[in-house]
Amino acid sequence: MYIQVSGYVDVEKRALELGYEAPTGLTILPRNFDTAKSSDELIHEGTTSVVRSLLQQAGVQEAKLEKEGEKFPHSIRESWEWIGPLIFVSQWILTNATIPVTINMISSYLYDIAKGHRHDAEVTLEFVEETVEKTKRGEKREYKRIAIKGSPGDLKAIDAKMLKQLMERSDK
Amino acid sequence: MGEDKRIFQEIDAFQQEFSRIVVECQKFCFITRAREFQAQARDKLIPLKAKAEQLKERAIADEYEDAANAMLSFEEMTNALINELNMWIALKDDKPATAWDFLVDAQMATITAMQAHHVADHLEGYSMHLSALEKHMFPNHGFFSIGAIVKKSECSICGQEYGECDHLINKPYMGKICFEHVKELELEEISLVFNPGNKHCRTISITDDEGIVRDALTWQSISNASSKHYES
Repeated sequence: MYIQVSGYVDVEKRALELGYEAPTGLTILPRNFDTAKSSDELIHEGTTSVVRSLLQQAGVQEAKLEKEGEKFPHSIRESWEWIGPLIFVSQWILTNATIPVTINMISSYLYDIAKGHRHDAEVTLEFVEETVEKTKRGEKREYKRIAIKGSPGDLKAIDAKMLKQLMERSDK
Repeated sequence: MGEDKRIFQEIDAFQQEFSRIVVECQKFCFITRAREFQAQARDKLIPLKAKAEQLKERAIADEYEDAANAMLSFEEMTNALINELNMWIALKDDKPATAWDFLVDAQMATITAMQAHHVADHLEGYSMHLSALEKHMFPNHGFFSIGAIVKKSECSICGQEYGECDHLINKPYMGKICFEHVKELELEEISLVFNPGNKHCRTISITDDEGIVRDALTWQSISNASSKHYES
């Protein structure tokens, strides 16, 4: 399993720049959320609909970035590599059962659909995590992007504790 | 006897027939076996596949989803074996491009069979066998893959706008595997890749260091190669 942690744009500020409300809780971000010049350019990863259905089936509430009735186009790739959408998770989400439920639903789905080519199936799952630190001047928000690449079975090892540890390790 | 009971009894009988015929036919999935036996084995499997399809259609008509998915799985398992036998036959007929296409179809049928129902869960080993054939019998050539932005697409199961229903891509629903039916797209890129979604999109020719255009599978010069290599 390959894991990469890197910095990410201020999600709250970026959402407001693009004309949207700041995400709270769990939100699927468009793949070019950090670079799009305007909301017209926003594109979802092709797997967004699948992940949204899985979240719904698991009873996980997503706070959508899109406005009522708005739909971003999505990308498609002809590849065995399954690239999940960028999932924004706020700090408080890391402390409840949402992350284990989400990852479990996604990994079970991928385990099923990768049947017959598990030996060469690759999966990429990406999270953007928000941490809020209280300072004398108020709150300091930080955003990190965590990309996890591996086999569908590797995903089962990921839980909220692991994501938190990855975030902390990248700070040192 | 109720119609309900009859279809399940027919499915049970089919499974027994399937196991017997598959064991018989798999004996011929080797390069050393004579071509005529391989053709006979393939011809034995064709009506078996048709029977699986008929039972699947009946299960669909009666709305037995699990049975419909199981029959789709049997249909695709049979299809995989037919394609493997066709691959061996095409190699003996000196048609490597056709053999490649049959191998890819066998791989795709295996994946569909496994996605459709757990009756095909034992095929992981067979899938590895097909991958080994790919790696050891064919040169390592590059593939092409597209990247695009979808403007409009539909769910293959319910026909609703893609993303508006609960159907999941690559999952079985009443004897059919769900896929995204793209209606409108904007091409973004075409890439050279080694693990493509569609292995039919392969490099057909290569220009060597001396500027000779060669068939990627046979290494014959394209201008000198006989037309038989390009039938597919």
